[in-house]
Amino acid sequence: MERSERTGLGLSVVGHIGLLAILSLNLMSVRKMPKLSEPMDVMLVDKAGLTSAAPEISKEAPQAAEAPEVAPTIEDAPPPEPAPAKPQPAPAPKPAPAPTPKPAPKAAEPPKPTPPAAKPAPPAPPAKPKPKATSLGTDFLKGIPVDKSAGKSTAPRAAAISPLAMNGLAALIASQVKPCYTIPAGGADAASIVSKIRLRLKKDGSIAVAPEVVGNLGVNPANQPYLRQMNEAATRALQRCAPYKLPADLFEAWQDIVFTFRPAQMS
Amino acid sequence: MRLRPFRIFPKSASPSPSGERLGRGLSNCTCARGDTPPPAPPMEERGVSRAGAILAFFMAALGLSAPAAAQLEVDITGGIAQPMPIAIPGMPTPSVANTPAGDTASLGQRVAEVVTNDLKNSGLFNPLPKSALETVSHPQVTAPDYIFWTQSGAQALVQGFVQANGDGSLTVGCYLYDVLAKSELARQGFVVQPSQWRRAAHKCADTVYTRLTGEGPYFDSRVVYVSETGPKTNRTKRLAIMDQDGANHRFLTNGQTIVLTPRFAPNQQTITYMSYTNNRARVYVYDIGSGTQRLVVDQPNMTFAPRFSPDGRSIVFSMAIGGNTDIYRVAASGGAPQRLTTSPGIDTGASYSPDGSRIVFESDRSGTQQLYVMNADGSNQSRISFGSGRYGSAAWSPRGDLIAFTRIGGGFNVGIMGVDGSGEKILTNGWQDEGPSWSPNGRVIMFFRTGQGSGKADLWSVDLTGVNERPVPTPLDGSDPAWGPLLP
Repeated sequence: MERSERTGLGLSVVGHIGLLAILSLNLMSVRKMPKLSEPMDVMLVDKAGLTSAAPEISKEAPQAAEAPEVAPTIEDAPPPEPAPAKPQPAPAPKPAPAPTPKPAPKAAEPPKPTPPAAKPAPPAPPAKPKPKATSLGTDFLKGIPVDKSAGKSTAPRAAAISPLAMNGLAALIASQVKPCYTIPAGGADAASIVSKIRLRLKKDGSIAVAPEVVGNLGVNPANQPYLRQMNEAATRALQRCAPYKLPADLFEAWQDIVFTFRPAQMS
Repeated sequence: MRLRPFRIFPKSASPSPSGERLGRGLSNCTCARGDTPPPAPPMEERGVSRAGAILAFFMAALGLSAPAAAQLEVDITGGIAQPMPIAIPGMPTPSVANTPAGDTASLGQRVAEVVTNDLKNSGLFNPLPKSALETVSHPQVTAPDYIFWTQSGAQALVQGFVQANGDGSLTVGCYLYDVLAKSELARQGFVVQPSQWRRAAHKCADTVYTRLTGEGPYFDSRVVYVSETGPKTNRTKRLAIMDQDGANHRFLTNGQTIVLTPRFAPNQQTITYMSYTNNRARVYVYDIGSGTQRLVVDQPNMTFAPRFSPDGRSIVFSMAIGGNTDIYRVAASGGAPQRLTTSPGIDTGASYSPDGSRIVFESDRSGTQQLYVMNADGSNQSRISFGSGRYGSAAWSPRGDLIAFTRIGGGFNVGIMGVDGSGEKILTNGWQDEGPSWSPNGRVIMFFRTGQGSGKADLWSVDLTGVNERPVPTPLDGSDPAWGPLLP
């Protein structure tokens, strides 16, 4: 009895410790997350405009609403490039043990365990995605038939996008870009410079061609010195917030966009 | 892969051999500067856009692009004013060498720290903490690890190196990269004596600041001010000079006589100020090189509030004769003063516009102390301040567009207005803030703040937004700061 109790107790202690360890590991990884959530989500409010667009489109095709299910999966596919793995080269420099001429087993052993321990650490940070506002999912146009049957030609659909839907799309894009649009404080004269930037996107929402300045407004002799910087601030915003999550079926509409950046709030 | 010093100069630099260029910097014992990069976009960018054009052509050819009418236009209104995240890792050295200022490896760390502090203090940048930085190897200086820096959250990256030259000088290379566009924005190399390594760091910070903000440089500059110590009733006041960030502090006078309102000459080799010598307040000129001082106007009258003209050839000051104070001008070398104002009452605190054509000053001719502007010869005097309270200690911005002042009304506050008095804006709200002096680029103002009751004064700086206000470190109390021009 006692023996079995003890083993049982021991097992449960070990089990609990194990559980605790696993849980605390989770905690560690979770701790990194808070940084990401910047208080920029305000933009979500704007999406009120979008919902108005959705019903407009729904009239087009009365298909079943299974579409929304499909959309999310598509959304998962193009996550931010998991390029992170690269920084690992850093821990590599561990050829230290080799030079030791003496085959002293003591010295040789310890170095090895440490590097492996160090490795797991670096991979963690890279996992963090870019700071960006939570955006509407690609399924914001619920009700739209998302079936991508190749049979239907693309042209008719593009033509079918109503102005209202275009507005909704523009609002969606703006909501994803705006949180990244930061400008240097001060320069009151600089804030009147309007930058027009052309951006061409790939189907997965990433940038196809580097943003291109296509025009400026509001430039005067006083703010001329800041023109380059204001254009760069706009360009940077587009680069920072890419890739964009946009409805794939409207790709023809958003593959080529002209942005108008107005640094100063209209008053 | 070893970097040749000349590589740090942009390709557009004059074709003169690099050795000559570096040598020139050396002989001056100052920083050699490369030309600023051309305004045209870098080659890579152009290449990209051309590729883009070709791509667009193909897309059009394939009939993929939407009909012309379907061009999607998106408006983004309201930029967020936010400091830019920037990474400034320690600067590596190609080979560690000892110099009088320490070995080149540790100098590389310290240069990066000075650059970091400069950019941070400007209020326009948010340098990443050291823990978020990666160690940069020498070859990486010209080939940044963009993958790492993109993930770090930095939008700009400053890298560089410190290298000891055979002749005892140092070369500090400074590179600025756009992390998002993965392109180089600027590069510049500075050759300095080891004792002047901080200047190379300030020049590097200036390169980064000007390229990213469009503003002029100001970090490589000095400040002269009145250092104060002792009890309220018997303060010892000494002239002191220091770098803009408080480093390299030294006293110029011994404090046996009281000195007030020091002002730099444009050449930075002389300072004019008022001193009580033999119980008489008069304007002097002090030569920093020789440490000698000389009386400017040899008259028994009280003279004060001096300032150099932008060309350094003359000094404007106030002289009190029989209860009437007027503004005069005299050649910096001395001679007979020329009277510029004639109104009864007190006209004082003259400050030239940067082109030397006009002067702002204060006068109580209307009954209260207000600001006036006149031509440099004294003609065409007109009042520009009309707000509530009194106005004094005006300083014309080196950029020419603004006038800083002290407004007295309820308290002492530092503010700015247009040269015609429009757009008045109060920048500070301390108990007693006064004596504004402009940074060389006209973007920052240094002033002194006196605490309530204590009578102790400290130097502070504030930028034109009024948001970025911070103390300027001095070993003792400080007042009457005068920010000098950018060092050559």
